Amino acid sequence: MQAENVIAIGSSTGGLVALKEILSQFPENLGAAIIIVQHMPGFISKSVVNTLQEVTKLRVKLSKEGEILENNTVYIAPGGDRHLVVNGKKIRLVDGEKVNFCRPSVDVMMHSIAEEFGERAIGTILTGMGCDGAGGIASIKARGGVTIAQDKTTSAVFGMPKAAIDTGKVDSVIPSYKIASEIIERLNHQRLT
Amino acid sequence: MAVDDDPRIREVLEMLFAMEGIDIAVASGGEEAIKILEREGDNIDLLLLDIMMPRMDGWDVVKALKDRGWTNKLLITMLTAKGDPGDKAMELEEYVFDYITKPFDPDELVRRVKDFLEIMDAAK
Amino acid sequence: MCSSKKGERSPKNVNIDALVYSKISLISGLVMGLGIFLVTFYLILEVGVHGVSGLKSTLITNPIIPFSLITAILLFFAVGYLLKLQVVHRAAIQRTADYYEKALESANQGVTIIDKDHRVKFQNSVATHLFGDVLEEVCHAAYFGSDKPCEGCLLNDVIDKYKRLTLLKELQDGTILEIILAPFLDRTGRVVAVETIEDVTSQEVTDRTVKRFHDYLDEILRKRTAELAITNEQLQKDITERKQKEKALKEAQELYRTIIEAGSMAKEGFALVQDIDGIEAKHVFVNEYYCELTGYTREELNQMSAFDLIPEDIREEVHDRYIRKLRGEDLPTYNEFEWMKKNGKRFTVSLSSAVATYQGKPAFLYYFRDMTEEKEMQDMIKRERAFFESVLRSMNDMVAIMDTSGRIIEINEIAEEKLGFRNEEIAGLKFNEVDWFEEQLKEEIEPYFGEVSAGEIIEAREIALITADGRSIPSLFSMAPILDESSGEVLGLIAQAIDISKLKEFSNELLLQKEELLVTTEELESSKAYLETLIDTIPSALFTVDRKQNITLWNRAAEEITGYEKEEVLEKNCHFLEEECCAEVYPLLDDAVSKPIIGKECTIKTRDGRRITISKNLSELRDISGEIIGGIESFVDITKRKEAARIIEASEAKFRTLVENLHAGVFRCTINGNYIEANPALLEILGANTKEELMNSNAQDVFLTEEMNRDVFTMLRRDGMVRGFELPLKKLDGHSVIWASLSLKLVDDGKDKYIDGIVEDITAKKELQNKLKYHAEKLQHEVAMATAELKADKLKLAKAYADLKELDELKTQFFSNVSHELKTPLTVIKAHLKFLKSGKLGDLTARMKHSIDVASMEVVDLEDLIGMILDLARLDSGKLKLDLVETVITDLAEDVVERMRKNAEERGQKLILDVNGEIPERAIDPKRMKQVLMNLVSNSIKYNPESTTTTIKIYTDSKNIIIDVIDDGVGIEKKDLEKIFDRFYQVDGSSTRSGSGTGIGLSIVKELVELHGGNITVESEVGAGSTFRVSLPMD
Repeated sequence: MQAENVIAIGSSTGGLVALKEILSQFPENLGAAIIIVQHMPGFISKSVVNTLQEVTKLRVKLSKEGEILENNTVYIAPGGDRHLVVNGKKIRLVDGEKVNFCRPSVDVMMHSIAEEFGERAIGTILTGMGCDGAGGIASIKARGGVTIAQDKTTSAVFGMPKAAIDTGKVDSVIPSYKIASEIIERLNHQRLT
Repeated sequence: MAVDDDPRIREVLEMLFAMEGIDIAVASGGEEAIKILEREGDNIDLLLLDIMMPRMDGWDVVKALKDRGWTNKLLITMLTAKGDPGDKAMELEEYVFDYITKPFDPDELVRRVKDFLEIMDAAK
Repeated sequence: MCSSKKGERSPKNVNIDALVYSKISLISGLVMGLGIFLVTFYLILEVGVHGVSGLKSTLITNPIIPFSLITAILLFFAVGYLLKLQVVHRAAIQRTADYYEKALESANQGVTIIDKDHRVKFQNSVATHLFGDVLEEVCHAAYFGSDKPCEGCLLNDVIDKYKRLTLLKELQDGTILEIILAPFLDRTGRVVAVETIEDVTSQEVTDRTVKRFHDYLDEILRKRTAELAITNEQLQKDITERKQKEKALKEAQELYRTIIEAGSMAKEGFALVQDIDGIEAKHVFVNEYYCELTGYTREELNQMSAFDLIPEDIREEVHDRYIRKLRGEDLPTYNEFEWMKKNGKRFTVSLSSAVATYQGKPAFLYYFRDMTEEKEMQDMIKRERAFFESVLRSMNDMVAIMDTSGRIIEINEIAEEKLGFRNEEIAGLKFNEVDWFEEQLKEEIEPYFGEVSAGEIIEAREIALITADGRSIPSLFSMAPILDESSGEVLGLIAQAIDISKLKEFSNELLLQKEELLVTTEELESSKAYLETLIDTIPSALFTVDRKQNITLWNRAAEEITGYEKEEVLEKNCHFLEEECCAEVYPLLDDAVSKPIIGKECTIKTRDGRRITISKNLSELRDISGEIIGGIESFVDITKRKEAARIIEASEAKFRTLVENLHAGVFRCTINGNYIEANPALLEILGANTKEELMNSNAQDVFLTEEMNRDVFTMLRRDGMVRGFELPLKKLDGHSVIWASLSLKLVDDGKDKYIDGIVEDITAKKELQNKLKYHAEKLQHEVAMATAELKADKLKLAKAYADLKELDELKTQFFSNVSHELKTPLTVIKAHLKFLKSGKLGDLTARMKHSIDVASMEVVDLEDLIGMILDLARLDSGKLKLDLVETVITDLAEDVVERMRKNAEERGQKLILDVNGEIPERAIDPKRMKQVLMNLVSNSIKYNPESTTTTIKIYTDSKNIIIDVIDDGVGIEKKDLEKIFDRFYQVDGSSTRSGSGTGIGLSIVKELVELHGGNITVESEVGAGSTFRVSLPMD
């Protein structure tokens, strides 16, 4: 079922723990597609996919060029050398310069999500150093989507969430263990309108 | 491998992981760490790096590893009392997989290390 | 038709069978015979040679004999078998043939078999019945369709070519037979034709009849259809034709109607009349104009006869023409006669008529035009023409008559007289050959003959005719054709020349006069224009009035000065100007002898109500006879001039006063220094008692030295002036010295040269200047000193700032380090305790475990304590920063409740969260605020007994978000309430767990709340409980 709603998650240092926590709390009929950009070296991408698949009922895949976004599926951006964008509801892996010192960049991914899905997007920034994702969050908010940032207490490093919060475009700042329920609630709301 | 200038921490980490059956090497500083990696780089999957060290701080070590291309062979986790990574962290963001503050909960640390080692095993 | 099975097999097969059999039997017979013969021969030989006994031995020793004997016997049997087979075979064939014969006999059809010689070999009973006995007869070719015996015979086709044919044959008795011929192999293998005959008479007859009937029907149908088609076509054609006719008819009708109505517009009446409804010439159709002209309405006319409109006196005649025309007589169509209008008035019409057919009956239609006007016009023309002609005749016209080629036939008497040419002289000559024309004219006239012959008229050309004695007569020449009245043929040409010499003279004179007049007029015009321009150009206002003082001329300057436009004032009395001197000056209009008034000053009122002063000149206007016809006045606006003069006077006066009253001395003297004029101030400055004293002295006396004198004069000569030159001067008493500022100017008015000068005593001023200078320098010095001090301070400040920064850095470092240093040992301790507890370092006793647990808990407490101390230290040095996030405090409270619930339950207490209403977001550091709430809640739990309920109540008032931590426990004594937030204050000396025994918890709480911009209060009653209230203003 081609996804109409999408949840975009950006995370970096210390993100794995939070991702496990969040994904494990989603039901298998979530009703949206999830795209995750986790800053990591390319050689562990597949491993990470497997690790995450072990904890969740959703389908976890390593993103491939041209893949169409489907509901109840988690798409992990391959680490290392290309940016992930969504164009025409399809995943595209694009070469390019590092953005915010990162590639794949959360900003790049979220900008494209904002454009594609507008009000049907939920953007989440999890723990990380640096400031990748702040711009992307602002973009999602500007197009009518919902934005969430992980709180300081549960973040391994509060850098990325703080940068996002500082844009003033974050709707909720929540501990990692509450993020999943927040997302589900927001998703239902988005689907009704 | 754990890199920390404080011998007490080194001792604790050695004992902790020995009890869990995980091989761990220790280095007291950046230069020593690099020497060890040159010798046995292929056997080391995970680095626990302190930040506040004399001469070469944790970020310098990460940068050195990146320049040698070793960041494609192992995962790096900072293990530090510093709550705020500081400015040096910005460019090195994508090479640091986790960041654990001291004082740390040994059980939690072990859990995470086991997780990361599993990921490394699967990636081989 | 039954065909045999055998017959279906190909002929060849059958052949082979039969042949094979016969051949085999033949060969075997021969072989057998031969064998027996040989054997017998041999035996005989043997017997002959060897005898019978010898035969026996031979038989035993020679195998040939028994062998051949056996062979012979075998052969015998073989042949016998074969013969049997043949017999059986033959029998079978015979049986089959018999069977078929029977079958054929029982058939309904006749069957015959015909061999290749066309003989009938077999026929069944039916065939016999049909043909009679024809066995062995040759099937005649004619029977089957060829008149040549067996050439092209159908049978050949069947037998030789294996064709199958079907024929129909009609016998003489009317029987119709269907004959089928088919090839067939007989038992001998030969091809024969089998003929099957069926009597199909009845069927055929029926068929034929039916067919004929069908054909007949078809024929009829076709004919009918064709007829119908034709009729249809015809009908269609008729309809189309009729439609076209109708259309044409309609169009025609429309066209006629249009034409007829057009006739109305051309003022032609049209009527169609018919003898119908018992009325002769009843109006069937009339157009608008007809009605108009006759004065009747259409409805009226449609009931009337046309004859009703004809006046009685001519009615009969008209009626007669009508009848004749209807009858078909061809009468001239143009008629002019009188009709009668409804009102009895007669009018003349010219009428054209025709007979037509309308709706099948003869009708009469006619057009007429009202000739009345025309007639009158024509009459008038006639009269005029007659008059004209007579006039013309009374003048002197010369007439010449020529033939069509221009040869003169005759000239009239007057022509002879005037021109001096006699008829006899010129008769037969061409008109333009006679010398009464100039050469050039002769040529010009030549083409006229042709033109005029063609019907053109040369009219009224002015030419000069020359008399016989050379005089020139100006004439009006024309030429016209002479037409035959009835045929219209040009019979000849007539030329007319009217002597217009007198006329010409007269007209020439008139022309001259006219020209003169024109010139004069032109001159007058241009003079007038010139004058007008002049009048409008002059800057002075100019206007004239008549005797009644009404304005007759008003120039542009007058417009400008007074604001009144020319149009407004012309012919109006000049009183509107309100000349105050008007009464005074205008009697001049009456005075026969009066002098013009020049330069009189007066005021007038302009259009916009201003009063202006004018200077005017006035004079009377006289006509040719010397009568006064009006006045002429010119004036200029001298208001400004007068004003200017006044100003100058005033300023002069002012100036004089000024000069008189100046403190500065002002004087005028000659080049040599002789005073011409000096003001009182100079006297004072130079210390003169009287003016004479000064005037008697020389200006140069004031210089202290000759040099100064010379310098000043040099400057004066060089620049023409000296300005503000400061120097000491001597007073008149010879020794007092003053400081003066001297200004001089060389004046040359053409006649004399002198010097104007101003002297100012600046002694006092100079003193002041010096003082100021001294003070200024002093000030500068002081300022420089102050600036230097300032710089030094600034440096000090910068240094102090740098030091502070360094200190700040050190502090941050300190906390960082302390934190690290404190936390590391704790981590290590915790880790080692865990190792111990895990048992992996060695077995544990229960006591060892207990010790470990105790130690672990202490470590936890220590951690908390260190945390708090660090917080305090940070707060103190202002290093504690809040990480503010927009948070709903309810969420934090929920978390706290979650965490502390167990604690409460363990102590048998209850913990409730009570949120009232919508709590807005606020900038809060979640970690720190949680700390606050945790502290308050844990205090409540710790210090209160079992079954206490702690409630966290969150609500808002108009300005604040309020969090109350309320318990119904033991309460706090008043003396403690005041100090409870003080650092290190403890309510009781008891040290319970978790470091709040140090008393720093609440102080931190207070500081944290205050850092958030809020405040914390406590209310309590011993025995009832306590309420800690955190109040955060909403931003």
